Amino acid sequence: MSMLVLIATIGGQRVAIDAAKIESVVDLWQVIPVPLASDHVVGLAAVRSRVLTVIDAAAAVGLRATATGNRALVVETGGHSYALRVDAVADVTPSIGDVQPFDIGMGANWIGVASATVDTEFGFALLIDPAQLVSGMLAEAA
Amino acid sequence: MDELTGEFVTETRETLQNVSDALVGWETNPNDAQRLDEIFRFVHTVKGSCGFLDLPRIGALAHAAETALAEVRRGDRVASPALIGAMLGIIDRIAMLTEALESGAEVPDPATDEPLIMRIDSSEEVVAEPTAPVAKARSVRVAVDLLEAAMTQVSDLVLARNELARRLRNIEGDAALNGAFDRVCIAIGDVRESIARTRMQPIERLFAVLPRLVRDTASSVGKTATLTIDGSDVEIDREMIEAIRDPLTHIVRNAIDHGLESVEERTRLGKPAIGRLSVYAQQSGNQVSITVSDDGRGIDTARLIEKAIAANILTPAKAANLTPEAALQLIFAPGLSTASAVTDISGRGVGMDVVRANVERLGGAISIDNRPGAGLAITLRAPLTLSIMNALLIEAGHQTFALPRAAINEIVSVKSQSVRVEALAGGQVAVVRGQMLPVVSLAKVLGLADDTPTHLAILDLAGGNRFALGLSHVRDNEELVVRPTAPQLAAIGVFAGQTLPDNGVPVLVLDAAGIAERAGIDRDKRVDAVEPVDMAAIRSAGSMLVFEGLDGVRRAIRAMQVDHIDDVQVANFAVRGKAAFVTLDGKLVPVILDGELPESGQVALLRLSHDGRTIGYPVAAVDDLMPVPAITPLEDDDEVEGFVLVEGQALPLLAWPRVERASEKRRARA
Repeated sequence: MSMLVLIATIGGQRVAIDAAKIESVVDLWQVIPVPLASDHVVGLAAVRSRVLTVIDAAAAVGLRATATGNRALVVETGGHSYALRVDAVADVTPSIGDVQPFDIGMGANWIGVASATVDTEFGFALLIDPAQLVSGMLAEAA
Repeated sequence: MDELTGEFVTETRETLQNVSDALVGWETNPNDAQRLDEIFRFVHTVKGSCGFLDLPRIGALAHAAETALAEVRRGDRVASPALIGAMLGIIDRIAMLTEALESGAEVPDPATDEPLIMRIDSSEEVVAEPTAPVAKARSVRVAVDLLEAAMTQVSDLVLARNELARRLRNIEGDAALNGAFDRVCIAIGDVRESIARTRMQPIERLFAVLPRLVRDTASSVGKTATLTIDGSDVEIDREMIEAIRDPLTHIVRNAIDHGLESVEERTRLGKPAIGRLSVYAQQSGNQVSITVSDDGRGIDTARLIEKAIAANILTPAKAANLTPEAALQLIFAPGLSTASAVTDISGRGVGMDVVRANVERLGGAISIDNRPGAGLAITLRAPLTLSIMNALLIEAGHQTFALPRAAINEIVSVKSQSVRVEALAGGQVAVVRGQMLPVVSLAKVLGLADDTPTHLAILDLAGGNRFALGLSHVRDNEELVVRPTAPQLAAIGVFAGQTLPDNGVPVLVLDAAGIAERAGIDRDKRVDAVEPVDMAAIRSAGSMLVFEGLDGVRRAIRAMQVDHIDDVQVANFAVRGKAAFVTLDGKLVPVILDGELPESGQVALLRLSHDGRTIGYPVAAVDDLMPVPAITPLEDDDEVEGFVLVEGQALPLLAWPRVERASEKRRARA
């Protein structure tokens, strides 16, 4: 079964995210740092009149923050809006073939946010759930 | 059309909308004297102007309305629905005729005014009881989500407007363009206000459960009580209704359980056998106050002190020095209950300390009026809305934060003579008017680049303790729409929320209690703190703003008269002779001028408000916010309330009439 996925790069890794789970792709222009916050919380940014909590997606899975640009994916979970800062966004594309369960040889940090891969015209990509990226991180913080 | 008539048309049009609102509001509550005054002022002004401008037709209509309203004000006449209907008819006709002055549109035959005037005269016969139900305004149910969305969209509009305003400032003045933009601004302001009002609900929703609560509580403890409710039509934010439900319930139960005596005891004391309880709500400014009073035994402070000593909250030596007011504050001490027996209803550990903490979390306050033997009145004060918070924008470590006004007792400059900051035991303490307070550098607590504080915010914690928060810069006051932060940020424990001020850059709202905890300051009130703090005196004294006028003279004004302090572009002022105006939020606001405005750039503007009117007061500099010291009153001077001594200098404390006169001059011209 084919689904529409957004292809992005997080910490050098190609990932796919169900396009329905992403509200929009934005460029953040001014991120206000949050004192005392964990490393993966970059700060707050306003997109139109909404205040988003900016999360560095790579840092959230325990990698070194690599995103240098301002490109971010807006996701909403638990009643709060987040901007997941990623290295790059390629495109929205239909997946090819079925979602493949994938549980071998994955870096420890990806367990919990990714459990499958999809094939796309950009090649194989880890299928990740942005909500779990946010909530998994919460469990870690607690 | 000559210039004066033009001014009349514009001013009348501006006021008309408010007056129609006031009329509708008056209809739902015919006893609302403030709205009545507002409508009266309008027709009175119109009548005056018509005499001057020779507009007899409008003048006659205004005269009829004024006469009827004057009768109502004197109490000779009742504000019946018929009268209000007739009044609306007259106001609509005045609006139509006024518009026609400008547009030249065709107007109905003057003879048709007569029935309108007759209606207002004859509606006298329809005497309605003041409490008679009046026609309900039509209403429609709307999903809360939709209201929230509308609120967000309006915020978007405001941001877009600000951006546009910035760009327009860089373009050479095109009067037509600026005029069109001003109209857009006014429309946006009105929409914002309307949306905010849709969130309001009558407090009746909260009060509706009280009769049952009182009956059930009283019967479960074998007492009887009657309940009087007043002010049910006060409107507050629906979220606030939910938030104050528990504290109010607790206070009402306490009043019956602890306050009212048993029937036998009341009879013995010569009191009516049935206890009386009254709950009333009142709106003042952007606050609502709810008072619960009973005619029971009040609080026996001597017994309260005994209990506090028994519970090791107080030492006998300290108890001997307590003032009655300070002793009363003991009911907020955790773990203290005056109930001699634990009943079903109260005395189970959830005490007044929890009630107060909950009320203060909402940005409110609680006060007690104790009449031992005769009763107790507890007043809850809360902001009208939960989501809109009055906050001070401040800076620390080169970053801007918002500090809720409710937590701030005062802001002092470290340079002020009444403040001494000293190093003590590895930390810093500030001595402010004889009281020693720990100093916490906000930048340090937040792990930001430490900077030298220029100001100290004296913060009151829910438990009653105080500390001084060092800030590098104090900016202005803003009404902010505050939203909760994401859980990752809330877990840090020092932020109460996040907000987006008009400049579109997000700001974190600080939680005073969280900061104190992080800095290692005990949030619970020590008994030492109970003693010297006479809250009643502090509140009644109020605070004042010290500033330097454009003429270089230092003056003071009561802080309650100052709504905002804005930095305003000099270009936004229009001065002609003695009349001056400033454009604020797309509206023209009269201005008091003490001296010359600077040639260009920005000037600090005190936004003063009184009775719903706004007046601007540009000043050279704002020096300090401090409690009002002793006033040496001046009689026969309506401009100055008196002199106050600040840092050895006698400053005039301005009285409202000075401000009002400036606007009256303008009205007289119209």
